[in-house]
Amino acid sequence: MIILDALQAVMSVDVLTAVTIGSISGIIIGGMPGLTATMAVALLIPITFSFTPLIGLSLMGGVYAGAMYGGSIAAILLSTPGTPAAAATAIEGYPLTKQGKGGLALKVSVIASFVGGTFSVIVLLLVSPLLAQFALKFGPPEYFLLALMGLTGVISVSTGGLAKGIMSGLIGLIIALIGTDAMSGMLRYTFGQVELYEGVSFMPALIGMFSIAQMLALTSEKRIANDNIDLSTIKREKMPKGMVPFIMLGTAVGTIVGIIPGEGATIAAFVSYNMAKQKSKFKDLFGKGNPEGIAAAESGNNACVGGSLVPLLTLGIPGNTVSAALMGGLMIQGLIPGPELFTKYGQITYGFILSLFIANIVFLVVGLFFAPYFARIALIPASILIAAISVFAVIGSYAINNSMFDVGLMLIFAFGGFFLDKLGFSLSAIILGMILGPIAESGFAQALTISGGTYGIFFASIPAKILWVIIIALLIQPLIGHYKSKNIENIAS
Amino acid sequence: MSKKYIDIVLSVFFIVLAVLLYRSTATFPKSALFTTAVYIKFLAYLLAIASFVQLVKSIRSDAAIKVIFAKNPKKFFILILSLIIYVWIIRYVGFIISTLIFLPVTMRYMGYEKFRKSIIISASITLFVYVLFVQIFSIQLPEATIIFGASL
Amino acid sequence: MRKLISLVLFLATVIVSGSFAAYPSKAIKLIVPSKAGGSTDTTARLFAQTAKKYWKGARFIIVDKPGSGGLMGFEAEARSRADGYTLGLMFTPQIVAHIVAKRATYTLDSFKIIGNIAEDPEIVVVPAQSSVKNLDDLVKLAKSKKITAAVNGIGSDDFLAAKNFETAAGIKFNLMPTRGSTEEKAAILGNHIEVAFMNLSQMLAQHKAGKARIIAIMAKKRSDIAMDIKTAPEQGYNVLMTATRGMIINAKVKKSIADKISDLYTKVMNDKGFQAKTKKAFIFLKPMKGKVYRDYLEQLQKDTQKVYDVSPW
Repeated sequence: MIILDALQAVMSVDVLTAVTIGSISGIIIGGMPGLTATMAVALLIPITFSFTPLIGLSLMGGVYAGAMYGGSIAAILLSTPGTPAAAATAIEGYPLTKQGKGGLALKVSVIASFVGGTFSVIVLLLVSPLLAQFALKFGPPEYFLLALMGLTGVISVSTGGLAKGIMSGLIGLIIALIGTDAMSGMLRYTFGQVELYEGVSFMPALIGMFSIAQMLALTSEKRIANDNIDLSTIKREKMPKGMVPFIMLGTAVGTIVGIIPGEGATIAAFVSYNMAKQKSKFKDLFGKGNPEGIAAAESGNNACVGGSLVPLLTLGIPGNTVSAALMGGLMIQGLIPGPELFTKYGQITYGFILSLFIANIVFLVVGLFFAPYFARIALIPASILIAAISVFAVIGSYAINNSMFDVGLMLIFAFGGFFLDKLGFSLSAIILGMILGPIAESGFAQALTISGGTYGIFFASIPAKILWVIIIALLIQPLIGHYKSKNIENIAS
Repeated sequence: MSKKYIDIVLSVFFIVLAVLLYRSTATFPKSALFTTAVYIKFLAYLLAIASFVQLVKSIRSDAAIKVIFAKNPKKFFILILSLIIYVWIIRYVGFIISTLIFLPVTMRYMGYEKFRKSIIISASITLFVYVLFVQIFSIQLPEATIIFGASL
Repeated sequence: MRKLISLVLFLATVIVSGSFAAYPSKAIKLIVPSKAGGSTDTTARLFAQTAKKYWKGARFIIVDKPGSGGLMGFEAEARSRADGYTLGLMFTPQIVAHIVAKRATYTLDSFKIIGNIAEDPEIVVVPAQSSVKNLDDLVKLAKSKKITAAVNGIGSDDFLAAKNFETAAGIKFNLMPTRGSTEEKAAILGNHIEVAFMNLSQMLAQHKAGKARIIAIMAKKRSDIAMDIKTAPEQGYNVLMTATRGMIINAKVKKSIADKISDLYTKVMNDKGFQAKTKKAFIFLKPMKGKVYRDYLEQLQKDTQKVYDVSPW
């Protein structure tokens, strides 16, 4: 039994140490804006040469899994998502922190992350090759529809009226147009700025709109937690009931979306969040601190970790930048993605997959243990927090592309975002538009290139048809909801 | 400020933006005409419709609703200003020195009164960033690119 | 206050005296014009790792400046301080393509060319299910109907290869630019398009596993690691294209320091460990020293100009 051999290999002190170090550093990396799992893996590639393949890979895998979870900590406590995938978590997590329930939010997040991460690894372990075939069914038209599916989330995250929500999403999509036209190579809307040729990078925008905009709001408070909070409750919070269906939902969505190469984790988090809101009995609580949203979003993005490794290991198609870097790590160890990974090199590959289980356990333990301590951040005086977070925001937006231009962008997004937020526009919708815009546009343009300009291609394949059904289902319910709440308002007034 | 009038101005702005966006596609090269240009036109249509709906809604809304941007305007504007200055001086003196100045000054203006403690906190944060980014992850921090007005 | 002033003076002395000490006396930046974790990034990191062996105590910092087909990184390299503490990686044909397309503020004269490190020859690849077995089949198919060919971005080596091939074979593709080679890979493996122009390292594993078929390599000679793939000239189409990855510094760097860097380059390229590691990472070394590489780049710029004049982007 090759899996048992692998299990034996994993249960060595070296490998376990590597996973633990990897996972804990991952949590720090994910929680810190400006440090990414991609950078860490890139840094590890030349170093892991001197290790055995399994130790090197479990170190990298640990970082990947840990960072995906770590992104949620700062998102919940400081509204500073370390990764775009954690943005949906911030929408519900930060309000909870304000209510003095940061510890509870962290607990939900770590458990949801653990379940999502673990389940997707089981899937990776058992049915990889089969699922890889599924991933290949996705061509440009399906990518366009996938982005569209993510964009339906705009309706869920908008709180200041449907028109403004849709406008917000469109603002994001339009900002994403800046840069080089993918089809012709022409420059569009770049105003002669070389830094804009590649487009506006979304990490500075995310940091500006989520974290600095919140710090601007914090100037009128003494600390993050509201004044009337009983401070003794912060430490011991019980896990809220009724999270199971939302964690399951996120896990399912994340695993499936993760398998499809693309900006998987972010789409998965927002789609899960969106579905959770529609399923929830407490729809009105969304945006004001509903743990159900965290449960869905976090299980969703962590379930992408295993999912994204499916096409990587079986076909050599990396689903995102982290797995692209991981592929470099695999190859340098002489492990070329393909069927041989599961036969000839089975012990290493299965060992690597099993080490991801351990990485999940490590962050579960660390997360649960530290949650009450982390939650005390809400009690730090705002004066210190504002200054410190500003520094992290500056270095975080700089380090992604080593660019001071990005720091300037971050400030513009912070001030502009704060202004729009006060007027009822949705910053989450803007971010969603910015992240999904390039995927939607290139999918759309590539599909039309293939079809020679006819639109039938968007309805041709079976995955495309299924995606359409989901998109319509995701649109109908919230639209009815908005319509209903409007009627109630009218009656009330 | 009245929310109504800001909303009206913004809606009109976005309608104009939609029109400009639509017209910009006319100059696109042939290879983009049936692909990305269509996508952009589609966005322009949607933006125009959504902004128009918002415009109608705003016109019919109550002018008495006010938007309060900052409950503590003094601190709010000081933070904006200090952020801009901070980012600006990084170009002259680099990240470390500017952070060592920005942190205690901002803390002070945000209402933290213990001077010595604020210096210690500032130094620790700067050291933490330096160790984490430069020593552990070998990521360079922003350096001075300009000294005495000349770019390096 | 006095303490502060003396501290500043002290720091200033340290910084100034540092710049007069024997080169290299401080950390050396190595600018990579692409994303962390990519092939160019790995090349740079392996280079730095090996370089430490020869320059004892030297510290290298990898600075990734991705974006716009390397343009962001090339510009940063051209603007870097000419003190020898900034080395740059670059890749072709993008570095000259930006000059040709008038996007760049630099020219080849902005740089001192240290040498080429690696290359990645261009290939033509079709899905495994495809009936196309060679370039003749491909041309025949393209003449019978409109077929879609994926290239990684406009102005890239893929794009130039496809354009050159169109001219040589007298056909016209439905060109589909992608955002990165991953999209090309997925489109070929999923049989969504007819053909893709890519680099050897990107598809070699899939070709060997029978998941995709490389029908030609656009080089003069076959590749040692894939002897079964016929070259384009062998099949009667004289289209050559390769992506090279070299090292440059600011043109104004003093000759004595530039010579030290060239010497380091030679040592690293001859290092057995470096050769072994790069081979595993699918980085195909191809040493070309300063002058030779410079001539190559100038010729490449002329060839790229020809393509640009016919079909600009």
